[in-house]
Amino acid sequence: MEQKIMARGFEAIGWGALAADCQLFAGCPTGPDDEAFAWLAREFPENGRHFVRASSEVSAINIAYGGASAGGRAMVVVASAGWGLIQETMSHLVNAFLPVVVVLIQRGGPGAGSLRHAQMDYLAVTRDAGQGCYRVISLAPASVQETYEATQLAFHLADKWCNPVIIATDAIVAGMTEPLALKTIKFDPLPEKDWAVKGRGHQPDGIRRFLSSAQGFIPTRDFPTYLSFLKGLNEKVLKMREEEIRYESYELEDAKIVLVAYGYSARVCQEALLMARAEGIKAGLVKLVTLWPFPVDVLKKKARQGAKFLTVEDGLGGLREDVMLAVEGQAEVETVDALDRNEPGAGGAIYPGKVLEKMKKWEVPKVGSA
Amino acid sequence: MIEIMEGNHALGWGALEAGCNAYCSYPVTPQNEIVEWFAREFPPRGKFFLQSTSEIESSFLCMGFVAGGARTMTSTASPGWGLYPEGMSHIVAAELPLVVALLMRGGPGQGTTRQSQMDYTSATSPGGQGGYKNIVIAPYSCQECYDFVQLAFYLAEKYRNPVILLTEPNVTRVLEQMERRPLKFDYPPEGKWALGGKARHSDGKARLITSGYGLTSTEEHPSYLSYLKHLHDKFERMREEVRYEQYEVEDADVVLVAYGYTARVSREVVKQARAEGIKAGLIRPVTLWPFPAEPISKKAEEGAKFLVVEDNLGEIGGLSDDVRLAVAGRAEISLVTALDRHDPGEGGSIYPGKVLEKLKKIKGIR
Amino acid sequence: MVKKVVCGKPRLWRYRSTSLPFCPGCQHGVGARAVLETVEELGIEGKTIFLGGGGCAYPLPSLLDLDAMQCPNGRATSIGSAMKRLHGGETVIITYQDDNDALAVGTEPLIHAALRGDAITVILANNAGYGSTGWQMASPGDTPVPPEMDKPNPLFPINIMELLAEFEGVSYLARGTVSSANDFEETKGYIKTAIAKQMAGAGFNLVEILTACPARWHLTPQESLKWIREEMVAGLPLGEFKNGGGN
Repeated sequence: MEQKIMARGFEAIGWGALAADCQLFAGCPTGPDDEAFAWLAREFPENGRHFVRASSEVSAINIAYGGASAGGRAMVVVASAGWGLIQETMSHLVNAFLPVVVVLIQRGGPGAGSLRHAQMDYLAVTRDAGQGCYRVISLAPASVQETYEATQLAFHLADKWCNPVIIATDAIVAGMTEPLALKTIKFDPLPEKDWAVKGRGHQPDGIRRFLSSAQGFIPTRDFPTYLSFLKGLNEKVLKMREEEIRYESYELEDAKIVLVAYGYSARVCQEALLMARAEGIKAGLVKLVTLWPFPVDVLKKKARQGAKFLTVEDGLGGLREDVMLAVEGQAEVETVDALDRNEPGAGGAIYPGKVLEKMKKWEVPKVGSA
Repeated sequence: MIEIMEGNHALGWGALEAGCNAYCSYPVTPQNEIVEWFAREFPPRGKFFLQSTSEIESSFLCMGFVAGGARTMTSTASPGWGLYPEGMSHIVAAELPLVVALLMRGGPGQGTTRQSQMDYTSATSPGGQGGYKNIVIAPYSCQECYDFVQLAFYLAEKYRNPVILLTEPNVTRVLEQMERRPLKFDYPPEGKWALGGKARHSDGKARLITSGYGLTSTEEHPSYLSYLKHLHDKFERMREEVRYEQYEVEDADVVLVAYGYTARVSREVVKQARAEGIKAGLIRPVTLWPFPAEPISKKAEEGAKFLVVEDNLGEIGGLSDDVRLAVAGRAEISLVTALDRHDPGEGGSIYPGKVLEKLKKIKGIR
Repeated sequence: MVKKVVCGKPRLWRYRSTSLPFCPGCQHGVGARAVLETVEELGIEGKTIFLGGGGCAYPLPSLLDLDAMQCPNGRATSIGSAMKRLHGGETVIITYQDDNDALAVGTEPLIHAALRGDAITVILANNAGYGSTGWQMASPGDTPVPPEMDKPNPLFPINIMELLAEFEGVSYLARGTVSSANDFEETKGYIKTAIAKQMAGAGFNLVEILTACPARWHLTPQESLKWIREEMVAGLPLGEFKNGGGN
């Protein structure tokens, strides 16, 4: 029987990690992610999992690197201030074809920014923030339930593709308390981690395993040359891009103005959508579930139908770039961004009224007209 | 006076010319020649050279030099660049200038020790927290290394924001002719932000530098939102600094887009193509950010086709993304990528022959 | 002109509200005051740069009438090392870092500043834990209330004095408290000596101040001071650990 509890987003990360059989958590707290740490510190050891509070985020991601290399499911939680410290290792994980789940709790930036929510890391998350050219799947939950499910999905996708996966949440979604139905998701079975390092004597075939983050340059089992490695990586990224797009659409069919949002802004847009429709505005919403890969086709289709796009993001222009790339000049794109927050302090947020205001500024045909 | 030198050293001589007086970095191939140059030439001239303990440390030691009022430079290569985002984000947030020379090598991860152009995106779409922009300049010759490092210092101080010089060893390790000519820039009056003890300031008032404007209210930025607006406006103003070069573009019906070493290759290809009667041209971005969308957009409107040449995984991202944004669906874009390198080892590069082959394919020529 | 502040708020505070943004009984204010009074008495406010670290003490640099910088967590020593090279004897660089900052994220910078013998003064405000991020253990390994978060991974204590005393580039190490008027004066003496070392160009110096954190220790301010005197000092003895050396 499914158990239902009240939980915060922070806790849902932990519940999801437990459900996904995450064996190792490593992290170094920086506000506002310490609440996740508190839960994990208590529950992980009690459930026989490893909890390591590292001295810094660099240290944490490298501990997770170790856990992943040994064939375990490893997770790291960071906040925006601290995100910058993990990028070198993310790049190494990508080269070495290793799975790690990274939870990013977004707060105001740049630098030390603020301790409160924000959505300012979109470009850093969806592009290669570390050295080299690569992509990493990122999930953007907008509720506690989604956080729980996204965490489980993240572990599955990380193992499936042997690549890090990012859960990009924000301090509002992580901080909110909502009902959570605890249900372990059953995913398609994945092959054994035959590549894991555990001591040659422990390998079933007695052959040593070798992991390197200089694949190709250092010939490895799968990649004898650097070019062969580049081909392999390129192929993998293109496949992920094609197969792992996830999004939700609301009232899209006849929409003349399409809201595009993720995380807490998506919740705001759901409200704004209701308000808009009530006033007769033909609005719709594409809520991103994966930030990367991006749902290019659905936006392209609406652009061809003559729709306009309003990106709603508590940041300064990240999401907008992907919408522009998707519509390829065929549609108008406007933004509601961090400068549209309701108040100037760090706690300012984007409210549905502001989204509605911007929608109304546009000449949009009402329901009942062509 | 014409001299022969390598780009690595030209970066140093140019920095000296620009008044750089502090350099800090951590050695990593292939930027070690730059570190050696500064280690050799700076101390005897009474300027600060410091080898740090890691790239994270480089970025923060540099933050200290800059906050203290020095004209500061750092350099790194791809694997070290992955450790810079945190520092860069704080330096941007604190509105401090810094010149960063980034030498690209094969990636991701440990990658290779030789050239690539795979850090385009992490340089132009910065990977540190908070979403910010840095001006990125891509020299393609020894002379440009010398000239552009001087430009970089000026732009860094003009906007109080780090400026990145993005290049690779195919440009910096090669010996070329160049001329050491000082460039004159209209530096803004010395900023009233550097720390040195309040007695040293003309008004005797204490100053505060912080990278946490959402945590600390100051006279200049009373609220987080006022600060974000200020930053955003600054990034918009930085877009004025776009620079690019056009080569035989006027009547071209196929336009190559390339920077750095592949721009040298592409120039060669344009020459060869023209000799065979193909109307090819080259748009070479000199600033990668801000990106020269305008000339590309113009040619797209005219119906030209595009060939993006970059030693990167163009199907995933990089220069190709910015060209796609500029073209906005109006023209065909083809790619020459790292997968077209001439050799499967780390020394593989993009050669003119391969580019010409693809160019001909676009034109439907056998 | 040297004068001694007997009582009252140091001139160098310039916060606008009536009190500091710290918890009741927190001693970051007292620790910083020890530094500020010393700076005033030595007459060096015109050439002092105050570099604050992360954690609860983050607001400090914005509250003083000195050239100051709010540094990212762990990085004040690096930033200070660079500034010292730049300004040399013209400035006095003082960092104020808590145990989270200097003994975790900032350990690499700290150790290397000491190895290089950088003539900066590090004030390490050790309140046995990280308060601002929900309470985690700091390196000393022993607190009145062991943080829940660290039960799975107890840390062995670190006595930074013992670690750094070995380094040739280190000229002065001392540990004090600010638990009473006498302790406060004694610690100020340590800070004065440390700054004098810096001004003589004699290498890296560090003064550790054991400070109270009643909010996270779940003790009253008086109980906190008692705990410092009786328990904390047992593991982290007071006094000068090195006086001499450096370049």
